Amino acid sequence: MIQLEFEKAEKRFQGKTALRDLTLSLEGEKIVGLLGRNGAGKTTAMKLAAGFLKPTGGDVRAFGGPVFNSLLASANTIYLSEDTRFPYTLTLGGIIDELARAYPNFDRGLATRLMDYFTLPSFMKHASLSKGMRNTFNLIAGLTARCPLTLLDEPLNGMDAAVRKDLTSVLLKEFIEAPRLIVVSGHQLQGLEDLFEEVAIIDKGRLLIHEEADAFKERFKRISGKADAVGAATEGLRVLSRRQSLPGMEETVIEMEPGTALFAPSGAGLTVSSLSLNDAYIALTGGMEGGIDRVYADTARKVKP
Amino acid sequence: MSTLIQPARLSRKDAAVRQITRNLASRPGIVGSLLALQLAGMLFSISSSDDSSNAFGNLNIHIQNFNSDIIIVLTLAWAFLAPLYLTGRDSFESDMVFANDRLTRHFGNIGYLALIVLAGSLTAVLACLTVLLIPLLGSREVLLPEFGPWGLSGHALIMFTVLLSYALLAAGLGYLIGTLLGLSRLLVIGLFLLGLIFLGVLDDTGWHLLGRFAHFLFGNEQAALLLIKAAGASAILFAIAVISSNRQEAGA
Amino acid sequence: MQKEGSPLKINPESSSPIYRQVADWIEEGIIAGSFPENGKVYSQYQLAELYGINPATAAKGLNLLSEEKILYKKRGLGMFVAEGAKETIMKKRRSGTLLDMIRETVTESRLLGITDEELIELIKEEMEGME
Repeated sequence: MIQLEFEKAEKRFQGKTALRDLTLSLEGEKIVGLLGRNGAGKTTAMKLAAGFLKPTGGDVRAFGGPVFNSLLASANTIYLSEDTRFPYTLTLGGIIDELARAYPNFDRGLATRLMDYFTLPSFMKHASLSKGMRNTFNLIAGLTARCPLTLLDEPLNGMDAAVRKDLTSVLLKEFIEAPRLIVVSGHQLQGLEDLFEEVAIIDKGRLLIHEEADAFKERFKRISGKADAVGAATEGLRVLSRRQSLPGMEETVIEMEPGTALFAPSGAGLTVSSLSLNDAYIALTGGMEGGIDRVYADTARKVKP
Repeated sequence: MSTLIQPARLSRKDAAVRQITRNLASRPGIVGSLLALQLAGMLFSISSSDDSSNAFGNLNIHIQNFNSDIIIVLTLAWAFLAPLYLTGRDSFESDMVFANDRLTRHFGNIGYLALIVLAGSLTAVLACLTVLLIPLLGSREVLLPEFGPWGLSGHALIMFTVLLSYALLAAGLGYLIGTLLGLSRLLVIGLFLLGLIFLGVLDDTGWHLLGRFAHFLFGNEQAALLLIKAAGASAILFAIAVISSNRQEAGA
Repeated sequence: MQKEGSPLKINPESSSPIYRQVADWIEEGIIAGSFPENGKVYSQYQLAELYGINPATAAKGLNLLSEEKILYKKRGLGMFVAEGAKETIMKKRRSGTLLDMIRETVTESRLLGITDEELIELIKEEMEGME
């Protein structure tokens, strides 16, 4: 079974720590969302997993050993991001040829058909593609290479909604067709969130949460109703955000401990709803309490920062 | 419905061979630039030949000096520059997208370089000979210069061996400098300055040392000996490049 | 309880988890007769593609139904509708889902200041209207 393990992985660049003490174990054939805000260390973690970077501390292991400079890991891993540089002299067709040579499971027929579908002419040069087209090509290449460890860094950036939807289906179909460990990183996930079996959230270079996506999502609730009733119901709970809706009414987002259930007194006029994975993730990693509203309110009241 | 993917095994040799094929397929500019340079060199040689005619009565001696050195110089420059491109950051990062480790990439690159330097030296010699033999196409009688005990083919063989030796050295040097540049520009500048200081401090002895080394390499009576020494020296240059960049990071 | 949206769409903000929504959808299929007794239901992969969700989540929905004895597993063949599944679902929904809905309705009508008599009257009217 495929396994990717970060053990106390640390990555420092001159004077800047991109990742500190990341311990995370991903196991088996599944789609995992690696989430985090910009600068949280997602890309560094992905590049460590791809063997592009060498950890300055700790270990990053897959296929029975450290991945850095491992031919076995490289032959079974593909990492694609917006910045992936294919040889710029090659046409898309030429890149497909090279990928087919490099990765034994590469499905060339499918890749060609998908390129046709997404109107990517095989005579085009990779460098001359627009951002969205380039990411579309990269995602097709990354998925049809069918590597046991597939690392997709912000794969849906710059695409229009229709293409994004189609590619989400491609991702799911490819996973069903050839199950593997697919790690998708991103800070915006609309559309992909239902595909995740697990989520790992990185914040400030550390692992914040690694949990089954369903279980994670279910731990976040939005409670709205009369302010005092909401206040009473959420007492002692971890409140992530609180804001006034109608006068005297309040909407609160809470995070529950794993394995606990929410007890909402019935008849108190409270509405309890779940959050989408994306909202839950934003609520968790969002800035200080009160969010951007608070910044404006404080500015208006001339509160000293 | 679904097939579980098994991890693929890949031998170092296969990975290196693929790197050679990939270089051939995806870097046509390297071979293309060589052909362009050699063609330009030929045209230059032909057009810049100086004529002098002497007439003694009814005997007319026409001496035409074809200087094909420019082809050799361009080929050597190319042998130095091509590995700079091959070892550049862009090339490294695009190589790492495919199944490679740093060692197989280097082996593939060095194999590829050896291959094209060999071919390039061969075409350079052919180009020189062509320039030399162009006058033969005319109808007049031509007196060729003396080619030594083995005639024209011997001359060509010696020329090829010497050119290949220098080209290998140039390629090794280019590969090392390119690799070091990929690691750190500062490092290369530092090393260069350090070298100058070293030679300066040693003053005459420094240059003398360099001269001795050059003499060891190039002061050979036998072309074959030169080739062996040059191949050895470039192998050392390649090895330093491989060892120094075994920890190079992509996309940092 | 697939009230909102098209039946083949997950409501991410519903208070019931995705796998529960999938299970509910299959239950409705059984009640409607689309999945007859001893008939095969969709596999986790078919469900995953239909809904655009992770196959593991779909499998969770199926397993939930198999724990509730609504589906049964035939090794290597997939999931099938158990005998009496329809009755099991209806009984469960009567005691669970329907009660929840009644509770919601009562809460809502008290918020609106509707008396209990008025609410019963409203329900009766609605029932007569449907007949």
